[in-house]
Amino acid sequence: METAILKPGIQARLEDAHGPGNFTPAHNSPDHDNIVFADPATDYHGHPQYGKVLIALLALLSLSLLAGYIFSPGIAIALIFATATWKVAMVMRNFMHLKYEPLFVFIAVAAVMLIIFAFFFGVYPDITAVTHDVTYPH
Amino acid sequence: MENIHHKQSFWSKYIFSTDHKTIGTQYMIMGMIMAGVGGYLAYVFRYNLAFPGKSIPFYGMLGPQAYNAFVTIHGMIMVFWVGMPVLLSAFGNYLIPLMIGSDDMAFPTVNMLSFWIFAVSALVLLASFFVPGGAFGGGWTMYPPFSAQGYVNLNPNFFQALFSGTSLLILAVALELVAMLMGGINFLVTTINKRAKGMTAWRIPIIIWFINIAAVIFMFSVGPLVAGAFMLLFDNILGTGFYDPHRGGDPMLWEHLFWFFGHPEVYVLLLPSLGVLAEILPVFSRKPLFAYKTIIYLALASAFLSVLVWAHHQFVAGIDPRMATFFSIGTILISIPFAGIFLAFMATLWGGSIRMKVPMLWAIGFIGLFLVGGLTGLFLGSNTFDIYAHDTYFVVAHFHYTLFPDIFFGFFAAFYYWFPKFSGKELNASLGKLHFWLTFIFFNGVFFLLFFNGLAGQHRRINDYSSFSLISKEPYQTFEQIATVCAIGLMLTQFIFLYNFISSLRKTKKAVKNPWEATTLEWVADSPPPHGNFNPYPEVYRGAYDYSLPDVEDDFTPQNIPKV
Amino acid sequence: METKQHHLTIPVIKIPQGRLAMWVLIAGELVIFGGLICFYLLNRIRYPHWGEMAAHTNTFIGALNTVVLLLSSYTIVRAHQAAIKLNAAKARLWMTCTLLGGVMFLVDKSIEYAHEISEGFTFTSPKLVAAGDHVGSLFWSYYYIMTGLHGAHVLAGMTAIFIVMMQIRKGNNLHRVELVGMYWHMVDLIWIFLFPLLYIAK
Repeated sequence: METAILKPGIQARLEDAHGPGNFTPAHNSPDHDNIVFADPATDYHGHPQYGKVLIALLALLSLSLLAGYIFSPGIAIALIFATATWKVAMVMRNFMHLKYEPLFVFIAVAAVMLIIFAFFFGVYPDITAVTHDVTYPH
Repeated sequence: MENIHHKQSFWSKYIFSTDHKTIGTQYMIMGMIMAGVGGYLAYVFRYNLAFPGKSIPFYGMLGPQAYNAFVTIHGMIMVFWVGMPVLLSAFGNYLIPLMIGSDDMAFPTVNMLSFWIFAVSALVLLASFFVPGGAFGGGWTMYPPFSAQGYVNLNPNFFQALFSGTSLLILAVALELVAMLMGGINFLVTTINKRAKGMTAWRIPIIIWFINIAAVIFMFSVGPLVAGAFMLLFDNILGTGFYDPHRGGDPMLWEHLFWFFGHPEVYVLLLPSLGVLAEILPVFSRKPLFAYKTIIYLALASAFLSVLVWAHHQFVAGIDPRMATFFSIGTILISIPFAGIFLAFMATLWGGSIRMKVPMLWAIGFIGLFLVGGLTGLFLGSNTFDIYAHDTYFVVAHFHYTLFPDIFFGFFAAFYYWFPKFSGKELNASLGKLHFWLTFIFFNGVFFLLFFNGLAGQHRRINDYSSFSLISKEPYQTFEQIATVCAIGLMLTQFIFLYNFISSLRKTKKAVKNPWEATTLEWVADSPPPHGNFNPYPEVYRGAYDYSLPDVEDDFTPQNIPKV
Repeated sequence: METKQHHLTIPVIKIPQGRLAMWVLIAGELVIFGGLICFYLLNRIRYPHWGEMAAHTNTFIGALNTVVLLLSSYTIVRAHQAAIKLNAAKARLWMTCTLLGGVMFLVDKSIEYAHEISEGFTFTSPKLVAAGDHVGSLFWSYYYIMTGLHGAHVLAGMTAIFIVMMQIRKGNNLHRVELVGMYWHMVDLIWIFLFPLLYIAK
């Protein structure tokens, strides 16, 4: 269970009222402003090397910019979107600390992706795979 | 500063309250007022359908444009301004903290804001009647190109286009969706984080599970519609071409993104009412809920499927026929989890010692009527039958047989059930039974005959059938008149409810804390619950449906009673 | 008499309230933008002509904006690190850097919009329509609505960061640095996807 760092004296007061234990005051309780921060030792199990992640992100960006000049259009498109996806994954995992969050959160984000795919493939035949020209001068 | 101790002004206590019970009540009252408006609109156009060309009492002559507008706004109001606030917001806000043993929602201020954004959205919607051109009349589905004409028709004038019926309707819907999104986040975080000690996931009452699943479905399916609504708004006020085929846009895109949300939306509306049933049936059969975990898994399965079947609303719109097959199969499959849930409900009733109180009447009435709606939905789910039945009164009767029990019977069941807790008084049971039977009879009178009109080929959204020779003769015109008379009866019956509601509030006799002898945590609180709900806060030792335990003398064991 | 409920609850998912709410909000926003990107993709594949229209976007400014946003994501996560160590002053310093990044993004965007508008590529592109290029005008409608909605979120994120900067002056509410940082990362994420779609894919 996550524990909070409380201002001096607050822990003692809560323990007087409720007995020994670790307390995280509820959001709308009067003690909520006395939370200083979640205890990093129990909150995250370490943190990633943010600087290295940034360099990797910038490298991927450069790769995607060069891809258009080096490769053929088809491969370039595939590479560009692959690097974009990889960058998104890196930002989510490292900067948003998704790799330290419970599985539930990852499932929520994955569900978003699945839903967008479902929409795309459901609509594709009607919007994209249209063969006739629908525009004509006003 | 503790809320209990500092004095609150009238404004912060009743108007801008952050207490979940007050906010739930505000949503309920707003929903009831909008139901009155929506019902009045239905009265007007139903009268016109039964007696074409006659002046309508309490309205006057109904022109074709007004007919279209009334039909459109009636549908809009009932889904977004009655169904959503009452079933999702009112029930969720009022019940979630009480049933999980908490003091309030996780984010009370966001909660208060969400209600007031909702209230503004209702005002914007009603304002659309009074702008030049009147309210939008193109169906609650707002299909382009008709709904994207603002810029063209009103010869490019940004403000005229912005304050037109169409644009105001889109804005009202957008605001309402924002309010519901804020509420949904609140519900999820509260249920996950603020449960009483000992309330594990499998001890949470079904209604709380279902409201949260509904919130999740809502949040995940509304995205494309929010984006698409902005695009439609810009088509109207700025003349972009997102849905204009001349400009490379596509009206089918709107249909897809609307129904991508629209179909899960009906399950968002359905799940809270099914939750109400799941609470009421065990209490009034004195039996545990049958297959609690299975019901939850079935609801999750239906939530998953619900985002995969949307185009069954578009079978005749010109979609790819191969996709139509896929959606047809999905639609028929999705009836399975709901059938499973209903079977579990019936198994709950089976062999129970039934107490036929008023909430139970509404619950059983719901099941019977929804069965008709659900079965006719299977017909419509088959793309071949739908080619014939689409846009006829068969569809209208189908969705009223699902939505009316869902929204109204579900609401009344919940209201009669929780009223003693909500107010500390008891409703008059005889008036309640009269209200139920009249509503039940009149409702069937309105919609059952319309199935036959639909099968005869009567199309919907047409104000004058005099040129349709088959429809305007007997027996279909008589069916229309019976439907209208029953509709008027249905609306007048609701005054019995209002009288019961208001006169019961003014009684002096107080209700006992747990008049229905139920096991869930809200009955532990005082009636009505004070600010902070519980003193002391309960701890949970068992599941929510411990009725008639073999080794216990009482026929119910509340959740906060430890195991002996 | 203490009658308020305390968190003697067991948060089963083991995630603090604010972070959970933020993830749910982010999921909801991602569906909105995901939907919009979906609509764009569906049309992009349908109209190869859009490739010619996309050639008029300024790849250099787009890439510069991507770098700016990535750097600003880095600075806000450093602010979060400082907040964990209860160093409010340092957190505010890093957050100021993030705000500067946001300002630079918006300035670049404005320069870019000004250039494109001067060439006649506007939200409704009446010049293109008059010239008979209806499909091309639709590209620009999508371009402006996607980047415009994204820009509105950049502005909202900057406002939130500024508000939290004011709130942590006395060392209170330091957990909010992370929450507002998550929103900013989401804004960055969306741009990472928008950039190739609108600028590179020609």
